[in-house]
Amino acid sequence: MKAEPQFAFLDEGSKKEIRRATLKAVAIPGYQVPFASREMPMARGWGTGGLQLTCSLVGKDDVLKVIDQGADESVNAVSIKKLIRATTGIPVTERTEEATLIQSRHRIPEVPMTKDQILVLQVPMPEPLRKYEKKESITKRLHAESEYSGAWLMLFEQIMKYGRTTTGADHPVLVNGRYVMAPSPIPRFDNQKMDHSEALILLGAGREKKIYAVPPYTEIRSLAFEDHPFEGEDFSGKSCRFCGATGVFLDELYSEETDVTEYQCNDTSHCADRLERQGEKEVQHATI
Amino acid sequence: MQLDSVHDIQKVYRELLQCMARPGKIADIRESAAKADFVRECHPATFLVIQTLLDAEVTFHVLGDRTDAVRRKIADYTFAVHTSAEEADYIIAPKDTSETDLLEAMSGCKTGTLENPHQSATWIIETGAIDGTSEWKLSGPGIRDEEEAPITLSEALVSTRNAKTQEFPTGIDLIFTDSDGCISCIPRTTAITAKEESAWVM
Repeated sequence: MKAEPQFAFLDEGSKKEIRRATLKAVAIPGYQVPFASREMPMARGWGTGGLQLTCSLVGKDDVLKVIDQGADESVNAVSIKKLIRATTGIPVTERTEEATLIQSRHRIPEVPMTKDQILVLQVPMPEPLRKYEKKESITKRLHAESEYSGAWLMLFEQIMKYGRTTTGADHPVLVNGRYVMAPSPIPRFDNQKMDHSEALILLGAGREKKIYAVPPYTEIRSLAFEDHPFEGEDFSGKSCRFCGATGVFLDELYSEETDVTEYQCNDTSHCADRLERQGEKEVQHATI
Repeated sequence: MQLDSVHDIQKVYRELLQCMARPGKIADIRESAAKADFVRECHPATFLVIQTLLDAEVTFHVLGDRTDAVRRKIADYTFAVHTSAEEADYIIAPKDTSETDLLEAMSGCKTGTLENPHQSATWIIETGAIDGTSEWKLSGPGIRDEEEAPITLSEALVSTRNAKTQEFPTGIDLIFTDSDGCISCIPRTTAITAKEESAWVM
């Protein structure tokens, strides 16, 4: 006899605790609510925070999409999808438009999200001030006092040393004019997608035991100086080598053999979708 | 049909989450509320919200005249611990609660600290019909421009609530339920202003 797994893996008591923390997180945008992170059948640091949020959210009517650094088919994304499928039986999709729940590691999809969708981001390091302050008790006080000169100084030093900010991914943002927040390691290109987003964005850090949130229509400002305005990654003049897309986040591929640098879409499902539509058009306009 | 402790509660939670994320939104949990017809002590919607959030790890306080019955029902079903209004994590105001009692408890309830603003009270208030009309408007995170408060709120309640949420991030979050199985939320970030007067421009 085989026992049925608990719906969405987590027991109801755990879900309740995560749900309580999530509601507080939504009520206090950008504030990291501590929660009792559960042991998951996956190593911490592989998205257990996001997975716990997804398990607390998911219902029988949901359609799930999981992305790992833009890709739907990487190991991390596939194993998370398998676990949710095995414990809930809900359909999974690769198309952003079809999903009601999107769990993502380090990207926000290219297709704009709607109010009926919830984006869950996996967070390795939820504390934006950790780079210069090791103690949690002190970072908590800094947040309480809105004392963010350290975060500004960090950016200032980068500009002094390199002439520009060198944050790459996870560029800190100011939420609703109050909390400095780590947007999870999304590229700077995606920071602007968080500002006044239509969809609710939830962020979960399993190892660090924190949940935080960005409600829809909330002001998200990337930290920047007046004379050094914030800039996303610049892809002007470049396009995807497969679908030709411009204005999207591109991966840079360099071949040592041919010494050629090529670019391709980072969001694989968006790229595949475009290719499919181009294929359809070609068939329609084909002359025999 | 029997209330499903997994799927009905999940549905209620998702509605509750969207309501908290979008103040002024009215969510209909009638379908699940109809299954909680064995509850006589409070609105079925109130009972469902309580079932979604409360367990032995949190404390609650019940206001009103029929405190004992409601309190027993909640304790029996959730194992949550009843405590004073000053210390409770969840404060439940059934529909027969007098406004004086409600305001007194609201002025005294916990709002969290600047370091731990999540250690604040969440209110579950039973109200008249949540039908989308009132003399108040809402703005803030979760609201695109402005939204009409979906419930009738007394001036005294609004001013007490505003006083409690003055020092963000500390504050209180309100969940409203009605007898029809509708819920709506006003978290601490929402500014409640009278429709006539425009918000202060500083």
